[in-house]
Amino acid sequence: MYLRCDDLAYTYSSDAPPVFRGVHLLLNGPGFYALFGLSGVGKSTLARLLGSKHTGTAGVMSGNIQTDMQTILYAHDSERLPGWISIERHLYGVVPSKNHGLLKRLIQEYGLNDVVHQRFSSLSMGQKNRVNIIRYLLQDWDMLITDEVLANVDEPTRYTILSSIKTLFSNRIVLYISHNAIEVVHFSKNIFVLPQTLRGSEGLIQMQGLDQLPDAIPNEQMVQTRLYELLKAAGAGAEAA
Amino acid sequence: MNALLSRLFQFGAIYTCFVGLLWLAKYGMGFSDYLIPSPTEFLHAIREDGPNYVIYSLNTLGVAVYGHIIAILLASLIAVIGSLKSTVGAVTRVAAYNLQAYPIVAVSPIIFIFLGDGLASRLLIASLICYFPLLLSLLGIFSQPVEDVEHFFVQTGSINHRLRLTIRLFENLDKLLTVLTGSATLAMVGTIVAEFLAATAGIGHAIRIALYQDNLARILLALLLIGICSSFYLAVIEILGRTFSRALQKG
Repeated sequence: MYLRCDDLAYTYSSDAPPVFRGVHLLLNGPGFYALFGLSGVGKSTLARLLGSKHTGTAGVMSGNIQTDMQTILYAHDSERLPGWISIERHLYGVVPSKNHGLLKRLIQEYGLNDVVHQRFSSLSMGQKNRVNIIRYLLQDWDMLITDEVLANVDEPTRYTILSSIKTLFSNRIVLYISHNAIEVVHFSKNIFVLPQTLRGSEGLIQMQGLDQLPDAIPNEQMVQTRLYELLKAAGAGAEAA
Repeated sequence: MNALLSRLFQFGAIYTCFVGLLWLAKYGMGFSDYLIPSPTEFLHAIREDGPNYVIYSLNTLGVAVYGHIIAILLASLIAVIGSLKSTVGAVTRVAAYNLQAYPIVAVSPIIFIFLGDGLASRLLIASLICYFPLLLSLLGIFSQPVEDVEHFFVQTGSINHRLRLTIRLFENLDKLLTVLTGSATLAMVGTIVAEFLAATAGIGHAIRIALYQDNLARILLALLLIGICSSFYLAVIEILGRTFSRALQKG
């Protein structure tokens, strides 16, 4: 189970500066990976390319993406459910029947029991995020790219969700994109940082995360050190310029 | 109910201003009763011709409603075909955009020649006049992706043409309701134009006769009844649309 990128570059038009270039990335084996960077460095663009769903009509891509995985899903935070049916009916409709038991459990664990009979539009932003991630988690995927999918969820619930993802889907690849540096440091096995430069991101900086499990919380000193390294890496390009 | 009262009030206000200005001009500039009828003559026309004109107006309204329904069905069918990504879809879209540029009123003599001056011609002209705006709106709605909702189905490979159209239709219900209301006005206009041109029934036909008789009082009465019928029909569409939309939102 792997995904490998070699010298990946992307630009929206041939005369525009690249969003990023020289990106080398290897996701080797199952686990919780993270893609981190400041706003506007091209994380979502890179994620869409990795998800192979970017048609490329709006831009030009060069480089290689190789993988042996069949299904890579890309989820983002502004997704909505169809408004004409209740959340429960939608979820039970789109989740394969073999996962209905787990669906019931996740609805409970993610605190959605009281709202599943409602329409999506009546939920809070955090509840919308939770419903959306559930339906993705319970599909048949090898790799799931989650782009800010928990952006509006409160901290304790986010930790619950991330812990459950790591426990329940430990045999698959999750690429987690978030602006929350502490969370990224805590949960990720490997962190890929897109550094910010004035001429678009160049290369990826790879660093180790703490790969926290629900029953093992890393010590504060270690978190602080990694956090400093991560934020330094994210601004590395700007610093160099 | 509020929608109906509101529509009737709006029309009533405009109509009163219009008639008031006519009478202001009549008495201000000393125009004869032959040119602009007096209030007494107008009331006389209401009393004498009112019942018949109400029947003519309802006849026109009935044809307009049927014409509108035919136009909605036809536009939906063509828009569904036009939203296909295949060659058939592309050809349908191009044909739809080009044909709509042609004025239906100019084609109506051919329709009367082939279909005569009866119901069929009135229905067809009414349908065609409100069909094109409907078609263009539906084609626009069906071809505009709702990325936020469709994304999941695209990612999981469970998207199909029917689901795509359902999502786009649902997300554009308000726009669709506005278009339906606008096209209802056009259906009334189309029917009256057809009746005025060559038909043998309806309020448009009555207006033509009143015109030949130079009887403005009858024309004013016809305008009053057309306005009331249009307001009623538009209000019914609005009420039905809102009820349907609310039912869908709540489940």
